Amino acid sequence: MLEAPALQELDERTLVTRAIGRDREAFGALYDRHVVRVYRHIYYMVGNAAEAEDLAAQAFLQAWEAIERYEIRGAPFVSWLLRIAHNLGVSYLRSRKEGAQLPETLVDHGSQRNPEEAVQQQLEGERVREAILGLRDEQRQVIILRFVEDLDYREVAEIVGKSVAAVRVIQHRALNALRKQMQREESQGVAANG
Amino acid sequence: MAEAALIEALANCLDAQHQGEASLRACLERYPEFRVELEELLAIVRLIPRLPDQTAPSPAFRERTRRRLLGRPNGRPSPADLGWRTDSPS
Repeated sequence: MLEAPALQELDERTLVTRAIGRDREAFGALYDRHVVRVYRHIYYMVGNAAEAEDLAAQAFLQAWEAIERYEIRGAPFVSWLLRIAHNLGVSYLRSRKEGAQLPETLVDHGSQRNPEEAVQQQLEGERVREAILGLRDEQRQVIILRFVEDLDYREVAEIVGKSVAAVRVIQHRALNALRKQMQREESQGVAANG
Repeated sequence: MAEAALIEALANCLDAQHQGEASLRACLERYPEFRVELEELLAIVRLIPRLPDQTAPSPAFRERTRRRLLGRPNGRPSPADLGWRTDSPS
């Protein structure tokens, strides 16, 4: 068996192939490579560091248990991991019945002029975040990677296994879906208040 | 065809928004036919809450999970083995 430092230098496909063959050290190298991204995705959903760590650990356990079912010619491994993480986050939020509160660390106070604006921005941020979490897998991943993680098109394309042109299309459709969702909510709010 | 042009305009104006107010204004002026739609989409992007760059799991968690996840030569660790709660979150 190879030592850990050598494993870290192997390409993703080789590591995944070995992990599918139940090579724990290869899976460990994949864990090292992706644990931060998986954790951040879940933290964005649940807004709590301890819960995010718990769920991230569960995501890797589920991935290890299900890795024989991963199709190496399908979506990239990290994209598959993020889907597992997202499903765990959704189950967790459902079990809590109410959505997670937006963590204080996600709020940009730089552009606010007064406390009312801060509250308004927090509420709008929560609405947008919830709408993002309701997007289809592919759209949600692109939006989070592009605008939460602040990655460029090439990096996002690599993670989701699409071309840069395809990522731009998904980005546009996802933003359009978010815009329609926000407009729908606004019109429902107006109707409810009227 | 119109969608392809809008997709390109959106990508360009997102880059411009990143560079600042003046660049964004200049970009919007290049696409008067899409201006209303672009402004609405860019406004959505500005509302998306960001994670700070330094948001990451603790080193202790990373090490503990790695060790316990990979520690057993055979068999699969249970959630209890990994030190996770087995009760439902309240």
